[in-house]
Amino acid sequence: MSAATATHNPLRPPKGPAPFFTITTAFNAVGWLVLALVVWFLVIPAVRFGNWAEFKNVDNLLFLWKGLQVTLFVGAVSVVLSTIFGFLLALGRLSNFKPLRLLSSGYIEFVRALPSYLIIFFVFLGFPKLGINLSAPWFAILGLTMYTTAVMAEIFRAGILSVDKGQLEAAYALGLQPRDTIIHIVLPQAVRKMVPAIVGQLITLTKDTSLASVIALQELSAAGKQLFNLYSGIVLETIFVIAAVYFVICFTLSLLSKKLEVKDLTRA
Amino acid sequence: MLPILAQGDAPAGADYFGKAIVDNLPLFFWGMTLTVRICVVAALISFTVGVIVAVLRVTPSGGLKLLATCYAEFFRNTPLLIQVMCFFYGLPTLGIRFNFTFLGIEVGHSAAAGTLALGLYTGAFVSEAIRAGLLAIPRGQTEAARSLGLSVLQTLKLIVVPQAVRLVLPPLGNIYSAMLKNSAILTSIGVAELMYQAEFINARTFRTFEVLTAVIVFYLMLTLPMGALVHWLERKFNPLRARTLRLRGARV
Repeated sequence: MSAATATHNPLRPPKGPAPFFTITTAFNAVGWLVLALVVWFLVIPAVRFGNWAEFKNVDNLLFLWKGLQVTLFVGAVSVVLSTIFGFLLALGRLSNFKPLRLLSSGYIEFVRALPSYLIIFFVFLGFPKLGINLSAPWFAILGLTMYTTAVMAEIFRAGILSVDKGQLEAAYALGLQPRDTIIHIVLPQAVRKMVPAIVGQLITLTKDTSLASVIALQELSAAGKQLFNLYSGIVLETIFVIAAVYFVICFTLSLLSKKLEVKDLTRA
Repeated sequence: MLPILAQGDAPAGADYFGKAIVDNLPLFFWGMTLTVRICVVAALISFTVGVIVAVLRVTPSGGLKLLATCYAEFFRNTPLLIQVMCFFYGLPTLGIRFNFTFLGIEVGHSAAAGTLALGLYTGAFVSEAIRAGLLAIPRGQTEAARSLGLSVLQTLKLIVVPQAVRLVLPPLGNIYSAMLKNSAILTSIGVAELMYQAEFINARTFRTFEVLTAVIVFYLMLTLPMGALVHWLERKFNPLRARTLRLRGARV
């Protein structure tokens, strides 16, 4: 017992070669084995026996491309509109005018508590009964903007509030007007902190555009569904192709968000 | 406004705003219970998958680490609707069609495929939250534990996890709150949850505003308590309390 504790000092690594077999080696070996099995039994059969012939047909690819164009259009317009309205709503929630503050926070909390699917559906069913008739893309844009505006407002508000209170006090002490304080002191610092959250919401928005297929908008996922209903036996293949398109868009955005993330504001 | 169509055998005098809801209240409640049940099962799936994937991504596990990373990134960066379609339309083409009885409840293919997709989609986010929590523990903690002779798993269990739990709980609350809202997407494959019942009643009675008001109220009944729970978790576990600074004197 005493001899064992004397020789086994945890602060001093044992002499001699590293042990050939450790528990870590076992974990790694099992991991590679599972990966090999997955590749052998799932990935290779999927590539070999999948019916990929329809995707060499240019007409089908053009059909999907048209859907992708609609997706990109709806997403881009929604993100621009919701950024503008979200910023205004955030300022409304931070203002000193109480009715405006209550109205803004009421809208934000109400909309954020509802599924975006429900909001798109609400716009699509409710607005025509009020006499507002738009084309399907604009209904989708309206619904997505209504939802994303509320989320964007929260992001902007959190960003503005994250600016240190001392910065405001210093600006006021130097005699800056409140408006100048916001434009020159608060926003430049807030925007840097908000960028990852905004890009994250952009990813969510891109994914949410697929919901517009339920209101008969001919976007990417709806185009895919029509394609696999048209040809028999390419259901999984089509879904994988569409998923890959969405993945490329969203993963690029998430890499961008990681790159833009500011860890240390003093050094940025 | 369009004229509201009278129901076939309803007496003309007994019509009022909200009648479509009162008449169909059992359908709404049935849909609401199904939404809750789907969310409970999907939450169990996602938590199990999320913990396993997160642990695989932070411990030495060779090829499984690559596999876990691929799963998390793929499921996080594709729409839930596509994943639901993949399980609902795709699995039957491989000869897999869910139809089983679980705890005395008959589960059809659409409900099972939808719940599985919802669980796996949420699981990717859960794994990311847990991984971030595990990685946020300072490296010195792990090194100290390892140099004291604890194994990798012991270090995780005794040192890292107890500290990570309080970091992970608030984001997990947000993820599950989002899952509750995402469950509405299962309507698109015909799972008879709350949103589906709303569409069904709307198609039968054409009383759009009553149905929409009702379904909004029912969703708020589910999501607001969830949101309150998340808020409580954030306040309880956030070391830097949410600041309620208001821009004093800002006229905007």
